[in-house]
Amino acid sequence: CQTLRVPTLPSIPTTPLSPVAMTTGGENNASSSATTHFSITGKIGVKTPKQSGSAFYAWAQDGDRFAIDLTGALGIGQTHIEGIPGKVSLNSAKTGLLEAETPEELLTRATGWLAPISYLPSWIEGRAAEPNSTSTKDAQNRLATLNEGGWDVTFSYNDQSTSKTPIRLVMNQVSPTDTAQSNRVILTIQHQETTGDSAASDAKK
Amino acid sequence: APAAGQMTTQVAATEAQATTSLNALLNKLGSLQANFSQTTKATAPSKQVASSKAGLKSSHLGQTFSGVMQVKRQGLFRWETTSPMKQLIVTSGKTVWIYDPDLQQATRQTLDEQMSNTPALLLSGNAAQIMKSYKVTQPNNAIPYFVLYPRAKDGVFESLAIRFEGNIPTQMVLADSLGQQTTVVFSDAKLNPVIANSQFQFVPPKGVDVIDQ
Repeated sequence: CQTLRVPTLPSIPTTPLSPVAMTTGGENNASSSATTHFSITGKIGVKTPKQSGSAFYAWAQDGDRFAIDLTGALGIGQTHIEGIPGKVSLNSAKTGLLEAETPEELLTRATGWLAPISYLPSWIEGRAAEPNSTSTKDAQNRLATLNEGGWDVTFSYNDQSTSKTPIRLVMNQVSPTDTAQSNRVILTIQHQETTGDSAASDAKK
Repeated sequence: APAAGQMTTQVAATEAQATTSLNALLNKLGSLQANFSQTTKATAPSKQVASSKAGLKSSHLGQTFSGVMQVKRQGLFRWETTSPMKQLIVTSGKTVWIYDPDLQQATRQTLDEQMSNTPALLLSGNAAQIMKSYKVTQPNNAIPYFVLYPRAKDGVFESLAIRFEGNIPTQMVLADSLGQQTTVVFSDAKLNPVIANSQFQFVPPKGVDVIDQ
């Protein structure tokens, strides 16, 4: 992330995740947010009217506990966000330690970026976070598009695999009144080892 | 203090000596090309964040970024990360392009103070300017290993070490205030190769979203 100016709050906030979704994880299929578990790395690209940029990220999620590291180009702008729903902290050389209830608010305060972080654990696993969100499926019955939390999400998958988890998410938030106010977030996703995942095995050490 | 009578071989250079010898080495870098490998690790447990203690470590800390760096005197700089993800950073002094092919996004921004103070970019900077912004130390005046401390207090990092072998930088280590250490190791370095200026220009490919920052 480039220069980290502390910006004003977003014009189009992300609707907070409903408590029901946080516990049951939206679609009552096998995996719910309680069993959400992944360790991923990739790139995040953000384009908002006020602040844009990109960063390498690493994200470890264990149930509803998460830790996210962002590193900007050339290793600058190291930012660490962690916590559980309702109690989140962010630390960066630029801002020092910040605390808030939602990761969205923290990310915006520290970097000016907008990203629906509370929804991402579900989307990263290829499922909706809320029970009745409008969505379309692809030929292999995987989520193709989804409208949730004020964001339009497009899911892309690895063509050579039948994996249910996306390798790329494109998220758009188009302001009803002024398209120049729209926001876009792109996330590329590489899952680290799936079985005996380092984050989990470290946790048990 | 060393035991009486024991010959101490290590003599620290004075700040003036350290500054002069680093200056001399940097000025020999007309241009440089090298492979780089960059890793970050947590160092100070006390500063370690709560989640890492609880075992939920995001695996960024073990990740290695590698690629090719090209540098040319007076501010021409190219940093191409090829693994695990692609990113190209190019500047010819005033503006910096950051191109992320996987995001189809290219950000153009002015070369600001934070960006120009990154370890890698120091190699292309003007030596005198570097001396103004950093206190230079050389723990052993016989070894070309320097530790730089930013004079500005709100600096993004706490110290930056740079090691040379002969006239070639081989390693840079940046310690930031989050208790993390980023190490950049250079290999297959070529000193003063011919590098076309076009290497430091960037034209966004068709279809890429250009963002002015």
